[in-house]
Amino acid sequence: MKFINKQLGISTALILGIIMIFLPGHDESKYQFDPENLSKMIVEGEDQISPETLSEWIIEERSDYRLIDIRTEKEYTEGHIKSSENITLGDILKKDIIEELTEDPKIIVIYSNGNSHANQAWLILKSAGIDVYVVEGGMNYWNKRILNPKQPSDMASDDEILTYRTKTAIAGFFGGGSGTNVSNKTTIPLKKKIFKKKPKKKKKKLEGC
Amino acid sequence: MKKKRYSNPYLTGIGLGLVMLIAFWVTGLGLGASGAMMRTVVAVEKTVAPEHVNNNFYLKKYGGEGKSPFKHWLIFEILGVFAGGLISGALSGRIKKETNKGPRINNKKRWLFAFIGGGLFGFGARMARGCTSSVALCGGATLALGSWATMIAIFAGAYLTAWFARKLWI
Amino acid sequence: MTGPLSITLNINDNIIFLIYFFIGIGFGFFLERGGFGNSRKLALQFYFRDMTVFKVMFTAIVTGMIGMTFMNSFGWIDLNLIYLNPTYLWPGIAGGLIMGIGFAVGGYCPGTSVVGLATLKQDAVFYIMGSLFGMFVFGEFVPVIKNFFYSGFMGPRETIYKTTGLTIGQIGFFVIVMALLGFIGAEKAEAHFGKKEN
Repeated sequence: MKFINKQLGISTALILGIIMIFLPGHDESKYQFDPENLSKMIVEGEDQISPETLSEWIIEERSDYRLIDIRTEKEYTEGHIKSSENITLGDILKKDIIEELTEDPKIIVIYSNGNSHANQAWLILKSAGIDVYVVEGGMNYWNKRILNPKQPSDMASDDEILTYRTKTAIAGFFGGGSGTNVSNKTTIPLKKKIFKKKPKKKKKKLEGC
Repeated sequence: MKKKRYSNPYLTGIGLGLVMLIAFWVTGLGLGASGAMMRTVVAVEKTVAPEHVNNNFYLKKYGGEGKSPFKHWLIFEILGVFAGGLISGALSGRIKKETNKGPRINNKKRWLFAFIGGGLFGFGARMARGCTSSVALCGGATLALGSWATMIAIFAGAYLTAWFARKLWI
Repeated sequence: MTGPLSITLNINDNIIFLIYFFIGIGFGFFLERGGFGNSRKLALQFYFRDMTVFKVMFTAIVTGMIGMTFMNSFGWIDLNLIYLNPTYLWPGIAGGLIMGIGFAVGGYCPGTSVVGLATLKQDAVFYIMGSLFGMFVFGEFVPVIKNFFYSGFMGPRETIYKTTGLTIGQIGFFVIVMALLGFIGAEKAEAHFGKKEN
């Protein structure tokens, strides 16, 4: 009896296994449109990363994301965020590019001048199942907050001045405008240490053990 | 009550596999265990020092501001595991206050090594982002690449250590 | 009904929690049935005297895998929506090795220690206290090894079939064959080394 059970088990497993060889694999590039979830993410700001976080990622040379500039080629050559590549809005929504991005294990970060174009692209890419984020405020915020940080007033505290110097040092790293105000002595070396706040890794909806 | 023998391992495995399958079909999340323990740790740390939890990127994930470490499916699942173990143990008359160990050591030593072993396992489980339940069992069934690497590493680590730990068990 | 139901039917979180309590009961029940509440039985695995852990684990993996492959083909479950462990290779391997050492020394793993606790095993109590302590240490220590913790990243949903370019069923077939060979080996090993037990 025991012997027969054993044979039965082994042959069942093998037959199922052989059938499995011929089953089609699952379609990973399938589009999932889940408006409720998407709108919830937008409301909670889970679709964005701040320019500050992005600058930290770039300086830390993190390699698990891909930065894409979706503006026109002309705008891209006139100036773009360091380490970005240029895939225009028209191109990025083409089927083969979406499929390529779906295959890419990296997090995708996109930006345009303001928010609207990038947000339109985000909605479509997200529906395609891509792990994608928008740089908050796009190039506009980047220029304002990273490249040209606001100079504190004369009455500012030491802390504020120090923060400002750090910011100008970062601006200098990205070739920003106000680097000239900083003399060599006060330039703070750009090491990971200057960031007290570590970049937050965006959490996925599904979280296991 | 008479102590019954353990069930056939293959049938038990099929039962366990079906439970896992139901979990995936209903919730898409699978099974876990160590995450529930981590949440307990974070809950205690949060009560004692909430600022500290907020400042640590890892702890923040579990119990940062506005998040309750206990409001998670793993907590309810692990309570169920306790209940399930109790039911099966009661049905087979295996609920008995005892310490399982090899014949060559005493209880106190076994307890000490249980603590040390637990500590290592807990540390490793968090580093590998999951323990035998989520990584080896569920990651194994879903054929996740990293999970198979971790599973092989678990068995490799255990078999390599076994010789040094033989006094504890045989 | 296409699974996972929580997403396709948009089930409320509180109901999911309740469902998970019952799933947990099933999980704990079968763990205890298989003898996983007994640390020595678990540990004898590593001396080839009692291969229960291996047999139960791989039967469960194979059952789950076969089920998921067929349900995917029938359109009963969407594999794009289930949780997949992300692949961070180096911390995964290092963590696995540490877990293995802990397994051989402590006898339990976290899930089985809860079952041990439910059946009043005193060593399980110490094991659980140790685990909590180990996790506490990790939580405090991880900011120091943050770079390592994120190293070897190969994607949030990387699988063996994706890496090899085969279908899930083809890989599944290899896993089944390997498991069957493993079971035959396990029975032989028990017959050879396990005489001193039972």
